[in-house]
Amino acid sequence: MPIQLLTGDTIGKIAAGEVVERPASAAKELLENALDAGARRIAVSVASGGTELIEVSDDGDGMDAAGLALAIQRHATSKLRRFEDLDTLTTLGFRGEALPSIAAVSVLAVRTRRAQDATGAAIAVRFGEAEQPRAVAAPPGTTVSVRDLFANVPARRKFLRQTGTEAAYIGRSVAAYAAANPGVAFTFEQDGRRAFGTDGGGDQIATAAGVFGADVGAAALPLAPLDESAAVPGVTVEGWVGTPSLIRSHRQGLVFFVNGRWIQNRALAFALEEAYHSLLMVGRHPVGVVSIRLDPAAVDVNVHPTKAEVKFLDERAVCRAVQRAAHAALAGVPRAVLPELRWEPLPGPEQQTLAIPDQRSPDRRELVIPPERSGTALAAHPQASGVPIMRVLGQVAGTFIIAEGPNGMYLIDQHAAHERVMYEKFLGQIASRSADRQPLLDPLIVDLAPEELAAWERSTAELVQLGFEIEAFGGGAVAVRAVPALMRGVDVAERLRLILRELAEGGAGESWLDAVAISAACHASIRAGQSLSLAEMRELVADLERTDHPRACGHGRPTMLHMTQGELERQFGRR
Amino acid sequence: MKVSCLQDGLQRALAQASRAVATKTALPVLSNVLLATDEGRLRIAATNLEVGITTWIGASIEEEGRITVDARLLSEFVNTLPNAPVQLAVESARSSLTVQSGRDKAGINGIDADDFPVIPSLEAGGEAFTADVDPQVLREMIAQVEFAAATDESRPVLAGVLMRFEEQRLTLAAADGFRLAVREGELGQAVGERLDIIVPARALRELARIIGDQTAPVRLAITPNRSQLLVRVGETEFLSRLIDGTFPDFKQIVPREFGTTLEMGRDAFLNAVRRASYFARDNNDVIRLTVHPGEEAFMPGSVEVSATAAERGNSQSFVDASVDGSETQIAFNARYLADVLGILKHGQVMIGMNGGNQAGVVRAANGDDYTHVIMPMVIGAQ
Repeated sequence: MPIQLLTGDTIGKIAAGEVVERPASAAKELLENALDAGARRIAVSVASGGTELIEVSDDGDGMDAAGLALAIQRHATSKLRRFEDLDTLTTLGFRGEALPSIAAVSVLAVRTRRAQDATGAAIAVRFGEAEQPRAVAAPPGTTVSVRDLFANVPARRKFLRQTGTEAAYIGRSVAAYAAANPGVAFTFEQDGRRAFGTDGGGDQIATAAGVFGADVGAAALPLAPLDESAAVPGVTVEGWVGTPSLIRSHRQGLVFFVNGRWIQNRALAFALEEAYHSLLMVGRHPVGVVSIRLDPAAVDVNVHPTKAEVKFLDERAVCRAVQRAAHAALAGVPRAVLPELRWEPLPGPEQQTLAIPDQRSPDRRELVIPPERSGTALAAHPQASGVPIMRVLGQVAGTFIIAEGPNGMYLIDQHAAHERVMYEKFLGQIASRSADRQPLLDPLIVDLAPEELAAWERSTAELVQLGFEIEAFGGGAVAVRAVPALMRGVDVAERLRLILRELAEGGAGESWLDAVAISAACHASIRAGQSLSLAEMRELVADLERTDHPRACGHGRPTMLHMTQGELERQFGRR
Repeated sequence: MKVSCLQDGLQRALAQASRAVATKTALPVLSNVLLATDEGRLRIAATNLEVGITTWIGASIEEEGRITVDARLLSEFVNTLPNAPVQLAVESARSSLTVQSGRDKAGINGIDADDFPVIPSLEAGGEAFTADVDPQVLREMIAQVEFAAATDESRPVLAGVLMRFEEQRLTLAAADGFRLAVREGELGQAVGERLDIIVPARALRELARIIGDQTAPVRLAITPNRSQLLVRVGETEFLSRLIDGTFPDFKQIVPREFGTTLEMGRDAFLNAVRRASYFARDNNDVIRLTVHPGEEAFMPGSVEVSATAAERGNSQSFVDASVDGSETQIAFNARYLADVLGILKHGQVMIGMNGGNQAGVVRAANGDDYTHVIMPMVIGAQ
């Protein structure tokens, strides 16, 4: 086939393929245009997952008739004059590609008026074929409607997901922009129903509640500006993150904006999750809207057609700023919300006792509470740590402590609880110095597997800081000369091997020292299956109440479950 | 079986033997006591396979026989009977014991005595080794050593107490990795061969209890198969399994020379340690000893005992002491110090040390038969 120039129509469709991947990307481009136009109110309406209609109307600057005619041309933009302007770009768009790209694959209608003009202008484009602009009556601002998206690109249409999925993608985009722009009032309608709306009052938490619902609003922690010592110069972080009770099994609840632009960045997501470190279970992810502002010169937005990815001049500094902001937000708030258990009632007439998971049979669940005490509620004693004062009642399966609190019953995992206590003790000891250690009468020789030996070699400095004194003994063995003072009364050889094995598998923690501390705390702790006296259990629970983060162990497993008084009453048919 | 004996003797024997009854066992017969006629006496025995206790009481035997019955039930029933003769009878056809005292009578279902483990006895003879020792000396030796044994089973030999028989000397030693207790005592007569055995610390505690205030010499023996320790205390025999293995060479652990030694009143020092220990509880039980020698020669010095817990507070006590050597500081686990001071008699104690990183030694000032070594704690560097 001889080489020839492509027709404008073909070029348009190819370009559209890059910018407009799916209805949600069209919606995103239109939203960004509206925000760039300085809108205070934006209404978004979609039908049939955006394939039938996407309409975005704003009360922004608007355009005159000549501007409108240009706007639908490729590479026409008001946002950029020279390439160098990219360094100082403050608008979301800059390529002048969005509208023409969308227009090439849909029936596009724009109606717009500048506030200072008497009449507005409207234009329609059918799959790239533009009509002449007409003068119309219009409110100030711009309304863009996109119908029959991809009707002329069957291949693209075929690859769209189900209507509901595409609608969800759009909803996520609109929600993200609405949440990141608390100063703009958003409304979002799907198939004629109002999905959510914000008041544009500028309050981040109120906006979050408006977008994601009241429960998210209640669990949102604002990211406050950091004081000078902690702040990363040139980077400000705003927005909010959810408390550890607000978790998702996916990362999509966490969105990042850089200079107002919604971006994807795994490094940022990881940095933020690290701030939750030890508060989240494995596979659980936090929720939040994080808005990062920095000098436009320090970020390259021109690396991806949809601008979904950006390059930072100093990515680590940005990550650090995000992590510190989240850390500060999480540290300042009592975590009063405990995971609540809802036990399903037993079927049939046998339901005389409260159902609790029983390890022997997964279906049959029973709990027997010592009869001398009925479940009367105690007065609430909210603790700074977020754990109420609890009265220990007994132990189940040598593993779980049953306790009574101000509102119902608590089950505490003795190992996870002790691990949390030990972890914080280790951290407390190594905060300013190395930990106290107890030398052994005569060195203990421990044979290590090769991977354990490698883990030891990698962790020598950290283990010393935690109070171990270990020397190579040759032949794959080490000689333990001292152990952390916190770790007495356990089988040192066995526990050391367990620690090293965990570290060999990568460990968990913010730093390697942290990983070693988490592992040491875990393996210096009481284990499941160890029967405890009432006094020991009381002491453990009291110690747990005193920790900073009592609700999860260092590995992020929960330390306790809560069954409320109300739930107990429901289960017994008292309500 | 048809036997008659006195209630108080039976009650005491049952209480004695019941200490060896297994509490949690898959073998029902181990929660029973054995009652058997034995050369004109009644033999009462129990075992949990760790230890065994056999005791004999006088009885008039009408008909030989034996049976095992639930130890607790029999003890409880006998305990409430009046101090009068008790008749015990077993009908040969049935495994059931009839206990009768006057008009009070019980029938207790039992298990055939053939199912009960055989408990070796010194009366059978043939021991591989024997030695005699004063019971009160042995009891004190055990008390001074057993608490230093390890409570976990990670190094099995350390959960035991070494008993070393050598010439006319018996040495007991126990260590848990952080401390070592060694006590020497006299044997009744020299032994022919040197012998080391390791006895579970728990078993020795039980033996000390059985010795009680006995005064007649105690005979220690090793069973013919050399796997068990057998001890005769009056009319009671105690049997314990032995721990296999080699005890660490404790002599090399005990320091021989000290840079600083001090002598002080045990009571005052123990009190100071206890006071500090309340503050040390939240700080890994760390207490510090700061030794201040007298300002001039022949002037008494003092020991400062202090503890600090960041959240709780701190305490400081001074104990007068005669100090020989240089000023020094050392940190110990308060429990370890309190443990050893607690078993020393009133009077003066001696502490020897070589700086804050070397093992410290605690002894009674007037005797060198007891040595206690404690590893100091190393306080993390800033």
